[in-house]
This record gives sequence, C-alpha cells and structure tokens, in this order.
Amino acid sequence: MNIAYRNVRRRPVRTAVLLVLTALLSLAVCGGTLLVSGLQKGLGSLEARLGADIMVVPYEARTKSNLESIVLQGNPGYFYMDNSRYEKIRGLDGIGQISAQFYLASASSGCCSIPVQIIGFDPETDFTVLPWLKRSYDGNLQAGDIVVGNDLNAFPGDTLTFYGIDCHVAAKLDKTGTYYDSAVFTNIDTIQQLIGSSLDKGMNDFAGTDPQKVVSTVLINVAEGYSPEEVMNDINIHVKKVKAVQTKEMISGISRSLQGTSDVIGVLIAAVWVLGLVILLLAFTMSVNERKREFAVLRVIGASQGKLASIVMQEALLTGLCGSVLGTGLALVGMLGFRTAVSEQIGLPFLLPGAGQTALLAVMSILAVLLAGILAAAVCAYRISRVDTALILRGDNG
Amino acid sequence: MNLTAKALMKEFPRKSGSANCFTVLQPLDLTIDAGKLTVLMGRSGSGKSTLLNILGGLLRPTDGKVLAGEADLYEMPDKALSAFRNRHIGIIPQGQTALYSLTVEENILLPVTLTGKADDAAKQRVQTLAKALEITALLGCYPAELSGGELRRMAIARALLPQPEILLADEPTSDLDEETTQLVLRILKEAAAQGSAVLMVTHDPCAKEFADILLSMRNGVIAADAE
Repeated sequence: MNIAYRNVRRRPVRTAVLLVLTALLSLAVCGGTLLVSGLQKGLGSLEARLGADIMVVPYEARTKSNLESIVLQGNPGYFYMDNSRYEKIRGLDGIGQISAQFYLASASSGCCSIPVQIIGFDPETDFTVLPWLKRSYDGNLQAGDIVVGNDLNAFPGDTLTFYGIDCHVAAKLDKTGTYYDSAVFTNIDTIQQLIGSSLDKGMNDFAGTDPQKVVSTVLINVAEGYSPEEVMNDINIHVKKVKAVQTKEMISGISRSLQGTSDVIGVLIAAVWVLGLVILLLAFTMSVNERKREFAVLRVIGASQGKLASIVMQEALLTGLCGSVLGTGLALVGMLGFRTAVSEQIGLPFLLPGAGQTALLAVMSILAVLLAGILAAAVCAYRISRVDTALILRGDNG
Repeated sequence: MNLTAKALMKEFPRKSGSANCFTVLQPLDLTIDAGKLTVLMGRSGSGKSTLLNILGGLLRPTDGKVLAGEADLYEMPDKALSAFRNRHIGIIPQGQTALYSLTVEENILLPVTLTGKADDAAKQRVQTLAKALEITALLGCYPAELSGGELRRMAIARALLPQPEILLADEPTSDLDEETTQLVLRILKEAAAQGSAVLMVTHDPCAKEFADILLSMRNGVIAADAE
C-alpha cells in the first residue's frame, strides 16, 4: 500500500483539480511551442521553396493581397502575361537565372477530378521547383505526367482528369507546409495543353489567349555583382504591364508579423505558466493545510520529516505526471489533427517539426510541468515537514 | 523498557517569537515503569498533554531529558527519533486521528506500512486487536463511516500494533460510553501486564481502579497520589 497513491486515488475532487491544472500547463507549453515552431518552420520552408530573388507578375496581379493569396497561401487562381515580356526581362542586365511558370486553377465541375492549383514549369530553365522535386522523383516528366502535392488524395499510378484531359500521377511530393502541398506540377507542354483545353471549354476568363504565348510569373535570381533591388527597379522601369517584387521582402513582411504572433503566443504561454504555478502552489498549500492533522498523525506513528515531505512529493509527482501526459497528449492530438485547419485559419504556411523533434518536445513539456509541480509541492513539503505535531494534536485539554 | 523524565521543564512564549514565557511544566522527575499502568489525572490546562507529548518525543522540552531505556530521545536526530518512536513508542493522541483516505484496516496497519513491514503476521495481529476491541466488522470501512468511539478504538489498535514497549494514551476514554471505556481500560491494563510501560492521561475517574500507579498534576507539578 502506498500512502501517496491512496491519497491521490481516494480524493477525486482534489486530484481532478490538480490534474486539470497540470494538464493545462503542459497543453500551453507543448501546444504553444508546436504552434510557434510550426509557423516558423512553415515560413522557412516557404522561403526555401520560393528560392528566387525576384518574382515578376502581370500588373493585374500586383496587389499584395492577390499575390499573397496565390503565391503564399496557394489559393487556386491564375493570371497571364505575354511571353514577349519574359524575353524582354531576360535581356536586361543583372539577370542570373530566369525561368517562367504557368498557373492554372482547375475547376470544381465534372471536367476536373479535384479543384487545385496547377503549376507548369520549364525543366530546361527551372531552379525553384526541380531541386525540391528531385527529392521524391528523379525521372523526367513526360507529356501528360503530373506530380501531386502531399496533401492531395492521389498517389503514383493514379489518373486525374483536368479539363477533360487524363493526367498520369508520376510522383507525390514530400510535405512542405506551403501551398505546394495542395498543388499539382507539370511541364510546359502539359500545362499549355491544359490551358488550351480550358479555353476551348470556355472555362477560362482569358478568352483569346494563346497558351503558347503566355506565362504567369517570371522567377529570377540576380547575377553576381547585382543587388535584387536594383534589378527589380530596372524591371519595373523598363518592362511595361508587369510588377517585379522581391520575394524575400514579401516573406520578411510575413516574418515580421509572424514574429509578432510568436511573441504574443510566448507572452500568453508565460502568463499561463505564472498563473498555473501560483494556482498549483495554492492548490498544494490548501490540500496540505486541510490535512495537517493527518500529517501530525503520521509523525506520531513514526514518520520522519523526510517521510512526510516524500509523501507530498510523491502525490505531486503522480498528479503532475498524469496531468502533463494528458495535456501534452491533447496538444499533440490537437496540433497533428488540426494542422490544416490551423494553417487555413492563420493564412500562413504551417509545418510541424518531425516525429523525433515532436517527441522530444513532448518529453520536455512533460518534464517541465513535472518540475513545476515538484517545485510547488516542495514548498508545501518543507512547511508540512516542520509542522508542530504536538500543537496540532493538542485539544482543549492541557 | 522504562521511560524516565529528568529535570523536565517546559515553557511556552506568550506570543510567537516573544521572550516573555509562561511555564507549563515545572522541573520534574518521573519514571513510567515497564509492566505498570500509570494513570495521570488532572484538570484541563494542568500540563498533562504537554508532558505526554514531550515523553513521546513530539515536543522538545525547554530543559531536562527524556530517557527511553538508555536512549535519550532529544539527543537523536529526527530520522532516528522517528524510527525509535515507530518501533518502541505507541501513542494514542487526543481526538480523531484517522487518515480518511485509508480503510480502518489500513489505518491500523500504518505503523508497519511506514517501514514496509505490512506482512501477513501484521495483518493477523490486526485481526486479533480488532477482535479484542470489537471492531472486526469495521475493518473494511472508511473512517467517515465510523462513530467517535469506533474511531478511538481504531487509534488504540494502531498504537498497539507494533507491540510497543512504551504506550502513551492521551484521554483515550473521552466521549466513550461506559461499556467501551471499561473495554479500553482493560486493553491498556493488559498491555501493561504484558510488559509495556503505559502512561494514561485522563479526566476519567473510572481509570483509577485500573491504575497501578496513580498520579495527579496541578499547575505543571506532579503529586504522587491523586487521592
């Protein structure tokens, strides 16, 4: 028979209060850290995926909200500009690498299997998609081949139909936490075929557009000795009806707002911790105070000061362990189960750490809450171990 | 094992931390003999419980020493004194002293549970004590389900479980009916007859007829004979 275990088991209300408190603490630390980490990792992944110094889009897609909606959040959409602008940009000074991409949003009607953003790239010039694509697919995409993002419910060997054209799924990409996870990639030939078919079916606003003569974006890495800013300004001055933006600047804007969000979450976690610690200390103190006579009885039958402290500490360990495992479990289930919803809600890329890192974080969170519980209990254990047994046991008779 | 107090004195500060003190026990010498039931009577506030707590190693005296056999209780560090109390001194405190999260049986077993010796022999002894104290049917109950008298008998069984050489009982018959009082006094007398040094502090005049040695206390001073 373990006295601490019996005390915890047979005082359900007190135990439940302590369990809820410790669970809340671990939920705050584990959930909050996962949230901040997921946001930072998602943004880092996006930065790595964009991989270009400058992005040039048609002037009608220039507004920040429009760009962010399509490029950062992956909302299906499309815009086109004449191919000649790509050629003109390529001729400017300071251009190192340059490649065009083609966007097409599939429709949700019967002609398409799923509504997604389809991105076409030129394997000859691409420097943003291919390096990452090669991690999961080392072949060459043939006409009609597509590669699907990790979130899409399609697998290698499947066939997806877009605008009446059957496309063969050649590979599925690793998780990135960015809009790439819900996009489909293909080469120029295939995307031009799809754009043509969408125009034929009257399902594209750009009627009269020749798919052979348009691009959606131009991605640029500046040549050595040039700054992205001066090349961007050069493009904006010399090429009509386009808008050049620095991708890293676009991300750093989000980065700044993300930092603010992280700070707020950090402050909230700290507040929950301070409040939780105070409440834990109060809960342990109240619990120990109401049992002073029981502790005095234990002293009478031969429990040392150390033994009393050990009983209080064991109770704190038991409730702390159960509560922190519960809270950390809830945080993990919440974050893993609702990461897509979280990403959609905050409108930013969200990529949770890998299994190993998440497990480490869970263990750290459990340990941190255990430590907090032990610290709170230690104060009470010290007090109770020095309780005046005779004074407590003395009744009115002297 | 005899329990001996030498030049024992106790003062309490009038206020916490104050140097202004009042004397509860005047310097006294006392021996509780093994094999005898010593009954100490006296009015409320006379210092009986204070003396009992000091003799049990629960309250450090202002001056003097307490010897259990050859062992000086207040020369021992807390851990050793606690272990000594667990093994050699049974104390029946005033009032209710149950642990409400444990059953009656678990409460009685506490002294051996603390030392990890709650074996079958200890459980058998619980049955014997429970039978003698007429609480066998209550062993599986929780303290909240017991009357005051039943709780008192549970506390007596707990104090007797380790077969202590010294037994200190503080008002063990208060609030008990006459029949239960007689039962408790017989049990204490039996403990003395089996060799324990038993000190009982009480108001109860019924205790006189069971006493081997009868003492009285007034204003912190012990007189040899209550009569």
